[in-house]
Amino acid sequence: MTSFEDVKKGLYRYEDPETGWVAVIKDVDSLIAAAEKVRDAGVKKFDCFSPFPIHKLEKAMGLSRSWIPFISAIGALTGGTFAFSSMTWIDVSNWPRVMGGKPYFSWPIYVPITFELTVLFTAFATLGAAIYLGRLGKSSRRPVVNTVTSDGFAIWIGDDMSKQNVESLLQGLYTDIRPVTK
Amino acid sequence: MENLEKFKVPAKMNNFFLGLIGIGLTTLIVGFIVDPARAWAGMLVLGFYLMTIGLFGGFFTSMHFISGSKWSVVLRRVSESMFYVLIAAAVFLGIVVIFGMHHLYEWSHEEVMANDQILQKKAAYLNRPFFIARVIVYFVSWFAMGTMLRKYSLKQDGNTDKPSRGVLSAISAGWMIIFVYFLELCSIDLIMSLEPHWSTTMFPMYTFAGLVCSGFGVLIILTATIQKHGGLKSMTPEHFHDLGKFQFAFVGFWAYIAFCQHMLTWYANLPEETVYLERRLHGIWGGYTAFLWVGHFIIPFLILLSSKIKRNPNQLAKVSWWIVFMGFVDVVWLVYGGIQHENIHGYPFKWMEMGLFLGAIGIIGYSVLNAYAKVHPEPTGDPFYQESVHFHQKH
Repeated sequence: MTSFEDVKKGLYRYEDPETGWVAVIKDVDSLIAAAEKVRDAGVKKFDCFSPFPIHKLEKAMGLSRSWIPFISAIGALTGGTFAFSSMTWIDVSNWPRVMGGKPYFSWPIYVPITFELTVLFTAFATLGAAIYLGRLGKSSRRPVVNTVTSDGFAIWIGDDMSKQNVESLLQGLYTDIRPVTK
Repeated sequence: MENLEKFKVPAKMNNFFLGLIGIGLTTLIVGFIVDPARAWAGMLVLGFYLMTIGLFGGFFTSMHFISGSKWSVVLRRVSESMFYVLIAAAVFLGIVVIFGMHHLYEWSHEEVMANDQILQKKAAYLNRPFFIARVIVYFVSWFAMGTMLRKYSLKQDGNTDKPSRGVLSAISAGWMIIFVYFLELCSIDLIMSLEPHWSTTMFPMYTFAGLVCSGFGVLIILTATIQKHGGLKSMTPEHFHDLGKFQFAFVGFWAYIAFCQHMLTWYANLPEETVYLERRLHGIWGGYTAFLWVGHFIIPFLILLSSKIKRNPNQLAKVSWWIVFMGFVDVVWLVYGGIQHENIHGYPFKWMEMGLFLGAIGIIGYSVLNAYAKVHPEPTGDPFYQESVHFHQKH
């Protein structure tokens, strides 16, 4: 098991950082403008950092639609089908019993369980998808400026661009550009 | 505080709504000549439906204040104006309660009462004077509390003596208590007592769920219409998205409550409860009930899953028209289903119900838009106004 000491020793430090440039940005408007510029320049390797979620940023970054809703829908269908069919199988063929004078196949009583398992499977699928697609546990490899966890913003651009190019692209939007090396 | 131009209801639209009111009233008059029993039931449906829409106006406004919502500030004047539908509802329900009681409620007949031991036990509650007094108390308290809420909310536009959010949410809390308790009693009185031998505790919840569904439908249609004709410029797709999410959630809520009521009735199998389903699941009513469940839940639920539709006022309004129509179908199901065994012949939704639905639309559109045109269109005096306008756009 990972101990706190391991963590402190730097087991989860950026051992394999993706190299490039980090531009420190001072406000939200500049971050959105910068993201739009980088998107329009056709750069694929870049990411934005902010201490809070920003609406519109996903559009400014040109991100495609998230897969999470579709994965949730698959989870919902799986859960619903599983609950309804397993209860039908138990009540009709595996262990038929007469309860309250109702027929073996009494669908109204299956609805609450079907509903609950649908919700449960949807929740698991959504959580799993969010962790996987959000690259939780991997994303710390991306270097960030310390202030982005409190009051700063930053944009990371991969090293297929030279520093001069980054500077001219983000003209007037950044306060500092720092290199990220191995 | 900035001054915005008041909304002008286009003359064409006013004439359109007046035309619909004409259709509704003509239907009612023709109905009373051709089939009076059905017309009385139709009038109860019309009055109850209008009552739910009017109450929704107060409900949404007070929910907005109590929860400290900021996003809904821009559209608050519309929900406040929706409250005025309650006047028309009071007129129709007043006529039904005072003149139509003998046509609708079997417990109001003394000879029925005398031969029925179950009803005799309920006579302390179900009797003519008490019934009329109760309905009067409901409406008087709703009007008193609702107009007070609106008055204080409008004071925010003034330059002096502005009420704080605390005052407004205190009034809202008062309204909410009166609204919930009296809606509960009112739906028991007006609709549940059509079948006096039957009772269930889920019933008021069901009418509340229907109220919120069709209420949000009407609110969405009205805001989209006002925006189309040059008002409510500050409303963005974000606001419609949130209204759409509410609509979506309450379509689900309606189904949840409806199914709860049905499943518990089915499971417990008590004679005084099952009569409700028994009357509504066989013959013509089987098809009608299936239509209600599919139309009020499954279709809007699947359509509203899409966020694109929720963000587009025109498309969202189209879905809302359907939900508003299904809300009326739902009230018909409740009322006609209860008295079908003696008075309602043939299919439950015929020309008379369609005419009454059009009349209801006319009354809602005319009274809300004209009440809205009289006031300052957006509450710019509200301290959260700017926050509401820029909601979700910038932080």
